[in-house]
Amino acid sequence: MSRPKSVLALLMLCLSTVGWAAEAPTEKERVSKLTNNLVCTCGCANIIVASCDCGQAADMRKEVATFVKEGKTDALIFAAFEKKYGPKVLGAPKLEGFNVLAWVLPFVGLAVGAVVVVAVVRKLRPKGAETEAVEAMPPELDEKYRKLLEEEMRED
Amino acid sequence: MIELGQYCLFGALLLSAYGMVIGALGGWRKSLPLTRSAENAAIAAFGILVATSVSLWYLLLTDQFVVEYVAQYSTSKMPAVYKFTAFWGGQSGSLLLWALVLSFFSFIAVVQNRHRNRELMPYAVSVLMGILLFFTVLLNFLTNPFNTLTQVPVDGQGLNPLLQNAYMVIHPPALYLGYIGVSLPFAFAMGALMSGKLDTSWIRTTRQWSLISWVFLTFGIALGGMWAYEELGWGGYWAWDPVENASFMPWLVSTAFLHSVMITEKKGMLRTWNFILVLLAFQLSIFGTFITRSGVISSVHSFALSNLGPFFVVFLASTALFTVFWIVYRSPQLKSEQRMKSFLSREASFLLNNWLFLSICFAVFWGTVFPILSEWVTGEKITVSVPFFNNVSMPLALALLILTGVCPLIAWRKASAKNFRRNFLYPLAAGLVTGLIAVAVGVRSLIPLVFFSACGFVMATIVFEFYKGARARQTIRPTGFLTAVKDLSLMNKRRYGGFIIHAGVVLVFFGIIASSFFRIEEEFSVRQGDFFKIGDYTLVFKGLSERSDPEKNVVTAKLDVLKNGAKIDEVLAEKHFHHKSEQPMTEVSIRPTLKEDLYVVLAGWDKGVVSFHVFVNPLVQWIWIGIGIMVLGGLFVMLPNSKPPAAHVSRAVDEEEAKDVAA
Repeated sequence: MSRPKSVLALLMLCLSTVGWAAEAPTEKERVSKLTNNLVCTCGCANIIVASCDCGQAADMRKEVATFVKEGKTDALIFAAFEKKYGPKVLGAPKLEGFNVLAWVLPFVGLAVGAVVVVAVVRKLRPKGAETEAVEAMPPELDEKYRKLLEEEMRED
Repeated sequence: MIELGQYCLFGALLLSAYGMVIGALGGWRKSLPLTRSAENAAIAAFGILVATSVSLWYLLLTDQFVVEYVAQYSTSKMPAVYKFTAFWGGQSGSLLLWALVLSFFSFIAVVQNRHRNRELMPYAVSVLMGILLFFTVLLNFLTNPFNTLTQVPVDGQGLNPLLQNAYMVIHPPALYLGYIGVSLPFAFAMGALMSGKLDTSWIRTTRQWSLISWVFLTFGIALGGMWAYEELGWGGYWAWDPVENASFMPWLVSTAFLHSVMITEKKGMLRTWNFILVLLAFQLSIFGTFITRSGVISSVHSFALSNLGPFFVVFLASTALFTVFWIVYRSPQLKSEQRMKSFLSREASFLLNNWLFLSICFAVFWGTVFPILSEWVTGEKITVSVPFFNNVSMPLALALLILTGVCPLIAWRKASAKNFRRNFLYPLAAGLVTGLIAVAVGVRSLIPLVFFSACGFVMATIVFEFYKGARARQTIRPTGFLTAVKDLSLMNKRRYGGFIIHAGVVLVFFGIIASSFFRIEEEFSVRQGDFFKIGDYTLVFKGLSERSDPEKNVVTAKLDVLKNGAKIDEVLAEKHFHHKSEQPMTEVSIRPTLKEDLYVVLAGWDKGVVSFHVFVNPLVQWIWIGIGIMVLGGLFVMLPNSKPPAAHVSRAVDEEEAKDVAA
């Protein structure tokens, strides 16, 4: 696994060094980013403000545009929206208090899964208990498996 | 007809209860007569549910508004096809559809296995009838579609106009077929656990069912996305809505299951794991049904618990407990038959695949239930929506995409180090080239570039897979290259069908990434004759017009589409005002091309000023194309084997296995 991974990392590095547009975002880009992180509270199914089809979303888009024109920071704008429309307007849980869990647990799940996978592979790998498995295989396969195994050990 | 429906529905309840008890008894006593009796009950249950459903259809098509369900979801003015589909427009009808399809599947399973799987069958039938019993109890006592009204209305309320379109004719049944199809692998898994016949026969028997269900889930989810894209007017196809998530989770677990059974079939490993996966897939399907239960409209507008909630919870909990009990009880017999070669074996890569699928599933589940949890704990209503799901699932999805390409290479690695390096080199180069092309056409942000490169890499591995295989085959039997590709694919449909599906997945990724990162959207307020620009397009607003038909008033805005100064098209964006519904409906104008969709929403008008919400969505069509290829790939795998009859299947698998090892 180490070789493919390192090659991939290299690939990503190559890509990341290709001419980067590092200018500050334009007003339009900021409005787009903000309205994509706010949710319309009109009663539709949590459609983001940027794309909701209702009149309220249109008004909210105008509000965001005005705030951006006034030069307010993202944090200030989010806070203003939260104050006006309630916490439901934020598209994702904030990183504070209990809501941190929303963000953390998926990755805890991922980590737990990783531990389980490693444990299963460890358990299923032939170490001491190898004989039993080898016996279960037909003899002609056995030889091939052994060769493959040896080959892999050598390469690693 | 009403009485007929009611009696039949009750008959179905009795038959399923009988089938459940007698089936289990037949298995326990090892009695063929009892088992046959349970199987016959399953067949009869199907017959009687057909009669029930025909009654409901008859009532809908003949406008019998004395029936509450008909009055709620149909009107005399609706076209016949929508009267027909009003069957699954609401809660009780959807549940009846569930019961009908489940009984149909059970019927087929019984007929197919008249002389096969005798150990599994009594328990499998018992479990299927148990599930059916649950639904018929709900239908009889809690949400009976044949309930009548004391005051008969002159006309019905009608199906929500949002649901009156071709997608909604097919989308719910397709999704339901997917949900319900999972019940069969589950029932046979239970059959294996309860009878103690724990070999792979349950997996082989239900392989087709798992695939059919997967294909329908894929197709159903795609139709839902298309419907949202064309009908809801917000320029997107996926909103991470609870109901969308509810259909996505069983899909994720089913996909993991389709992969993991291959290891079990071929190597006898991970036997317990498959039981857990199939249980999970089944539970998530029931959960999905529960969330969508009151018809699709709740999917987009509300997420309220109905009176059925506690029953579903009890059902889910008891099936989970029951299954876990049997898994634990049989666990001493569920040891792996073989050992794994190393972390770099194909088996290990399948494990990684399962890990990622389940991690995504868990993340989606967590995000879906988190608002409820958070409200309990903090008392504050919060939203978990697109920004959360996109951020959390993106790294996992990327890992999954890359793994799709890496897996076949791991298999190839068995050849030799030199070969392996060469096999890796071309796909990596292809990935790099794809990335460079993306940069050349103006992509400047890291995440899409990484995804596009990964798409190129994976696609190249797939092409390479076909190429190498066909070349190898040509050396054995000299034919044309394309013939070799065809022969090769037909010889190992599962392997190459799988690659076709993967190719579809790559296109779906391609479309999703492009359309979510490079969407342009803007609002314009214009007067007649004005023009405005978005992306490469110039749109000229030609004017509003109004017309009406018996059901609705329609306001249409006509626009000319210009590109490079020349008129290329004319589009119509509309708002529909249905007499029966308060909310106006947006009829979006979509001008699809392979490069991008021009998506125009008529937002409103006031004193001659008309406002539009316009999107340019790049590469969206590739998502639908990709899903189409996935479905075709799934169907390809299911093609009947021309050569080996059932008895030889296991030997064919062994041969394949030996070839794999020898390769």
